[in-house]
Order: sequence, then C-alpha cells, then structure tokens
Amino acid sequence: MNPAPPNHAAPAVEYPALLRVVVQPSLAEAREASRKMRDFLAQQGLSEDELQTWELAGAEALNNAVNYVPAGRAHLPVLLEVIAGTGGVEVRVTDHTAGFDMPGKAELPPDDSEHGRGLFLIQTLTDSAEYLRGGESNVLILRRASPSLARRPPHTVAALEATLAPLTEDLAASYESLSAIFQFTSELCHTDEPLHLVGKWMQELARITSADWHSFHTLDASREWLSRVVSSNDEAPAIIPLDKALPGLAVHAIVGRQDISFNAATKLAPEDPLASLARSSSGIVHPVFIGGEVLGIVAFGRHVEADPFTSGQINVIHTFADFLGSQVRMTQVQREAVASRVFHRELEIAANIQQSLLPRKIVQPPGVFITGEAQNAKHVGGDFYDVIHVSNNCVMMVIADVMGKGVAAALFASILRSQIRARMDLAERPGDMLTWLNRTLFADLERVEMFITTQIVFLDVSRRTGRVSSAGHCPLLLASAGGEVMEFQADGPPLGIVERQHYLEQTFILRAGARALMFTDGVIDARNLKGASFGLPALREWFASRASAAMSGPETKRDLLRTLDGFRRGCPASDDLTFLLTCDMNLALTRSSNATQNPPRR
Amino acid sequence: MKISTSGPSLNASQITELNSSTAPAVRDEIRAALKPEHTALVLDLSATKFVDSSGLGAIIALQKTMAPKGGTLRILNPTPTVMQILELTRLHRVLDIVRST
Repeated sequence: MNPAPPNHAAPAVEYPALLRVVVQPSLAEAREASRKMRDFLAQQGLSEDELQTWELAGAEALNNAVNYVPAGRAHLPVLLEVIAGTGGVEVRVTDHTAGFDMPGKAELPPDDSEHGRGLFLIQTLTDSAEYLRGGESNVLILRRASPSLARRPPHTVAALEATLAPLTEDLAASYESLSAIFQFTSELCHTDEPLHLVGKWMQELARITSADWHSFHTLDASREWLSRVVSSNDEAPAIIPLDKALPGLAVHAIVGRQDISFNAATKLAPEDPLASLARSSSGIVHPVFIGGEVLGIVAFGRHVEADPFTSGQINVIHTFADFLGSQVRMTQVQREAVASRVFHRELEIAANIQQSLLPRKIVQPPGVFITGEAQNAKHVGGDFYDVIHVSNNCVMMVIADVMGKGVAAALFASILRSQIRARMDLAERPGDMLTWLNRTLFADLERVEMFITTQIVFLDVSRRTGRVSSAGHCPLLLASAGGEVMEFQADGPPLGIVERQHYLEQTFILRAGARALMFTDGVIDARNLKGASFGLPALREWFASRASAAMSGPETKRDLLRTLDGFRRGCPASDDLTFLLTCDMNLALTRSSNATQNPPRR
Repeated sequence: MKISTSGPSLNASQITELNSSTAPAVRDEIRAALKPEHTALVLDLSATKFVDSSGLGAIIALQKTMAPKGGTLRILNPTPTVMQILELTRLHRVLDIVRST
C-alpha cells in the first residue's frame, strides 16, 4: 500500500471490466462492499499491494458516504462502481449527503485527533480524487494507475476477436445442433422405425463436430453388457461387457457417470473393448443417462493428427447424445407398451378360451353331486376340467393342466378337450384314453416342448364303481364318510413326455357319503406371504375333516375356497387353481383295485 | 477479540479488523475492561488484517484514555498492512510500537 506518485496523470480506461454494487447505507454494508471491490480487482490481476490500497481507499469513500448522509436520506443506497482497464482503476461512489468541498490537498489532523484522516488517506492512496456535487447526489471519482493492469495483454480488437472466435464457433455448432434436433424430431414424427434414424443422425452429429468416427451402444435388458446400435467403424465392438473386473473406457464412463476423454497418450487396457477404436485417436466416451438410469454410451473420436474436440463441440455431443438417448428410450418405452398391450390382449384371448372349455352346466348322475372351480391366476394357464355325459348312470370327469401360459397353453387345452370328446368310445377305460391321447398329441407337444398333466375318472353310479388313470397329474383324493383318505397316484408321466407310454388305471368302489377330489397343483401350491405352500398333507387333513362332518357338496366347495384364501392371507395366487369335487349323496364308496402298478397310498 | 490481564497490563489481542463498523465496539469493550490498577494497555495487532481511519481513531481514543492516569498504550506486532497505514498517517511517530520476534 503505497501513496500514489505525485503529478501522475489520470489514466484512461479502455475495454474495462465493471463492478457495480448497490450498498445499503450502513457501515457494515459499506465494509462488505469494499471487500467485494477487493475481490473483483483481485480477479483483474491487481497485486496484493494494489488491492490493499484500493480496499482502504474504497472503505474510506464508502464510510464518508454513509456517515454523513442526513436522516431524511438514510434510506437511499450508496452506489459503488469499479472500472478496471489497462490504464488503471477508477472507482465511483455516489452518495446522497449534503456534499462537501474537496480540498486541493487534505492535511492530516493533529496527532491526538480521533477523526479527520479519511480524506487524507483517499487523496494519498489515489492518483486523483474528484468530487462532483449534484442536486440529489454526489459522485466521488477516484483513479489510480495500475502497474498490474498495464502489464496485462491489451484488450485490442484483434485480441477480442481471438476471444470471440471460439465463442462464435461454439454458438454456430450449438445452432447446428439445435437445428439438427428440430429436424430429427420432425423426421421422427414421420417414421415407424425411429431407431433407423439413429444411425443417420449419429452421422449428422459426427459431421457437425468434425468427428472421424463414432459409435452408439445401449444397455442390454440384462444390464450385463452394452449392445452396439450404430457405428461408423467395423472395429466398434458388437457388445461391451459391463464387467468392473475388466475396466475400460465404457465401464469407467458408466460407473463414474462422467465423460472419459482419451488421446494418443492414454494408456488403454489391451482387453478394453473400445481400445481398437480409440487407439491413435482423441475423443470422448459420453455416458447417456435418462432419468438417472444409464441408457448407454456414445463415443466420438478424431484421428490423432487432428485437433482435439473443442469445449463447444463437446457440449454439442452432450446435448445431441442426451437428446438422442431420450428418443431411443422413448421408443423403447413405446415398444414395451405395445408389447404389454399385445400380451394383455393375448391373456384376454387365453382367458376366453379357457372359460369356453369349462362346462356351462355340470352333468349330475343320480345320487351324486359334482361341482367344479377354475380360477385364473395373473397369467392365464392351461387348466381346465370337463364332465362328460356317457350314459344315464355314467360320466367321465377330466382335469388337466397344460404346461405353460397364455394362448398356446389354452389352445392345447382346447385340443385336448376336443380329442377326448372325439373318442368317447374309450370313456370307460381312462387308461386307454390317456394312452391314445399321448400318442395323438405327442408330436405336437414335443415340437413346442410342452406337456400336459391329465387325470380322467370314469364313474358308474349304477355299479357303484369308478376307474381313474392319471398322466403325471396330482393324486386323486378319495375320502370315506368316516374321514379316511386315500390317494391315487399318477399312472405314468404327463402327455407329451414318453411317446409310447401305456397308462394303466385303478378301480374304486362307491360307498355312501364318500367324496372324491380331483385338483391341479394350484391348490396345493397356494402360497402365503411367508412363501410356505398349502401342501398335500394339509389338503388331505382338510378333506378328511369335511368328509367326516358330512359337509354338503356346495358347502365343501365354498369351504375349500375359504380355506385356501385364509391360508394365502392376501398373497396373490401364483398359479391357476382348479378342482373338481364329487360327493356321493346316498351310497358309500369303497375301494377295490385291479392290478395296478401304483397302489394307492394310505 | 480476547482481553486478558497480566499484572498491571491489560492485553487485547485477536483483533481481526478495526474498521468503521467494528472499531467503536472494540474501543468501548477495552475501556470497560480497564481497571484503575491497569497502568499499561497492550493492543496486539498481529492478527489485524485491516484498519481504516475509524480504526486509527479508536487507537487514538484508547491512548487518550490511558494518558490521564499516567498509563501507556503499546501497539504490539502490527501486521505490515497495519504498519503501512500507521506510517502513512505518521502515527508511528506518536504511538509506542513494539515488534517482537
């Protein structure tokens, strides 16, 4: 902090930098303003000594402007303006005081005076101090040459043009980018295949940024690798594994969520999928995020002998790539929405088919009550049941579960139902019926790698007998009036597994009050929120108790549904739930068996 | 600011600024801490980064407070910035300035 040399001419100010601060009239605000002035001048490159000088001179000027303002004008702010140019610094302080006459040379007060040094400091620290008095306000103008500013490169027109040139270039590139985005959006509205446009517009972006090569990879649904969408170069990898153990430009960009720049000096890992593309180039890998989720990466590069991308070109790449990413994501969302609509429509069709397979009215042989239930889970499967009139005293009951979901499963259920009804000559021999069905459907099922579990019961109420055969289906439960439950296990694998399978059958005898339960695995696989399944033992126990209690057929059906609902306790069904319940109303069912390979288990 | 007593001396230190908005309060606080037995006041300005004319006025005021009872004011280790303004205003001639290593 040195006094200004005497007789120094006030410097002219050229191409100035300007600070303007409105100061509320308080001493604390005045001090804060002088700090801002110091910071501003520091940014202009003034030396520490110059900064201390101006901080003190400015503080003194502002203090005077605040201290001497009359009460009636105390609400009016003080204006501080600082102008820094090559010639030096000019500070203007506009006050609303009554003003004073600036002495030609302020003298120091007596040594023991507590006041009167402000003007002396102002004049001593600056080259010139003018005070212009006005009607409403006055302006104190301080000037001081600045050796630091004088050493700074002059702000000539040429220098300004040099500064403006890259800005102009960036602006032009931004304009091209914006223009391209508008054009892209327009074309997007007139195409059914927006992804086809991506390649074209990546080329356009490469042209705007003067890139020699480019590539665009998007994250696969598995989120384990990036798949190439477009590339200007065959060396771009088709896939890039997102393996953190194999770091590379792409992994670094995505994990770090930031651009990765590279040039000829960058050491690329040999296993980096982008190494062959990026080698001998300069450029960037830019991760594209949509809503915080990674969508993929774009990479742009130039041959090493070319200049690297400018910041403006990088900005263009950011802008356009992020826009392109949002369009790709939007396309993906639209496709997923279409697929979802198709899927739900398929489910509707499947549900309609499945419902059409169920008998509208169940045939009721004399003395027996038969009832069925079929509930679809979220995804419609191939469950169905059927009760077919054979003669006055005989019915054939079928329950089946086609492996798989949707229309295909429903169609196979439909075919199975038709085939069974086409061979009612085999109704009395369920084993033969299954053997024939297996041979008939085997080729079709094998081709689509599907299978069907099926259980068929032929019931003759006049002879008080039944015959059951099962192709890989859940066991038939037979409960006596006393609550004794027997299981009739499967007689062979599901239809569609073994081409020349011969299915045997088992025979049982009817007794009064007995009941039979045919069901699909949706019944015993019903799960609660803890993930536990209802299970066969619980079903057996439930069936025994209801039989011994002589619960009516309709009530038994309702009770089973209530029991399963109570077990699930709000847990949604994960599989179709289908069962067929037969209750003897006056006869007993007793079991006898013909020769069978799978004797019932007690 | 920290004020402490060392025998007949009252020491004020850790004064970061003596400007127009803080100097009157510093002055008044020191005056309030002065007891009749204090014959010396030491202003430690080693941490003072900015002093303006109001700060100088406060220093003069404190000197005038000590003088009537035969006491002294001593400026201890002023920073170069503060020393420059003391010299610029020629107060270095009338103040007892002590620099220690």
